[in-house]
Amino acid sequence: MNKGEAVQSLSAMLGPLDPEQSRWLHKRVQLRSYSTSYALVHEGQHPRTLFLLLEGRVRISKLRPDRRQEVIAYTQPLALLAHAAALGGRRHPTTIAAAEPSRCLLLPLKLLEPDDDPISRSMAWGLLQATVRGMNAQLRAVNARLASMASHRELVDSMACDLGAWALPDPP
Amino acid sequence: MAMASASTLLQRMEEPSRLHSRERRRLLALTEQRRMEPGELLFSQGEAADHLVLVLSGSLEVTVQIADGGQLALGRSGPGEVLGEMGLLDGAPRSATAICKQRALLLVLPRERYRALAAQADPLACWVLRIAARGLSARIGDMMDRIAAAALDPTLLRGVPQDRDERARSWWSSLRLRRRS
Repeated sequence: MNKGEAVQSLSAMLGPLDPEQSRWLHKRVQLRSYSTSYALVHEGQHPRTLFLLLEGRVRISKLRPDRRQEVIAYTQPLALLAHAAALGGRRHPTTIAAAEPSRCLLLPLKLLEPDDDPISRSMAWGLLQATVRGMNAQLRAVNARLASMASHRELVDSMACDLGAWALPDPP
Repeated sequence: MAMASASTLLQRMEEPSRLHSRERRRLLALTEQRRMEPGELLFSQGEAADHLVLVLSGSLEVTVQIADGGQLALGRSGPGEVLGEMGLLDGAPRSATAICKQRALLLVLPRERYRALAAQADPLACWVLRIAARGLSARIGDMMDRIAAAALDPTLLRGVPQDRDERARSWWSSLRLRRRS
């Protein structure tokens, strides 16, 4: 997948992109590959970018009180990552690392701060909506997981759960 | 004790106070005020999501039903927080139940009004989304904490913590999870 194709994959979140919008995005986003175990973000870091997972699989984990990493979830392509911290004005609550060779489109947080340019405004609005929808889906999945744990009154051997592309937004 | 007016409460809050006064007036005009007493139900899990609320004062408890018929406390929402946005945004039924715990004043934004604002990318819709995002972010962080903590010491909380510190202390009470060998 080249950068142009990667930009077009954003239409899954933002709706169909016209050539001008595609060029605008092409100048601002970055395509990166990650080898297995490479951390895209570390828990506690300040957010600088959003990630759209295009290929591969990432592991989301959290540091436990005993300093071991607890895997919270795995996500699949088209998941938006690191959005909770970015929009919440918080540090990253989890570490996100490649569980296998993966590729991501990096979306700078500046894209969420529109200027007077109409393209900037429409992209910021679309991205904001997609991001909040993604957080919504993530929270539903995590709440369901917690309710399931409480219901069964037993410890699941591994707390890791495959939540799929939890941030996959509905097409506009 | 008399409650402060919605306008006054909006001005006192951090996020709403950042809105231009004209936008605050629009927000008040587009929403309906609702007063709630402790024990009153705002919405129930499973019902259609037809509005979101901005909490101006008081607090509401959010719970989710678990398989044995009990309720698992997910948290509390207080002044400045948006509640009920999840179903409104994705069209799915309410994922949780919200009950008033402390006498509350809310601004209620019906779904059709939110959608009309969103269709025009109105600054108020953008503002609502950003407030919702902050709340979602905080809740996601809390849930991640609870899952990580439960993995180490398999207990979960049924009661509703008052604040983060109390929540951290009380995670270890109430619900025992048995470890599989």
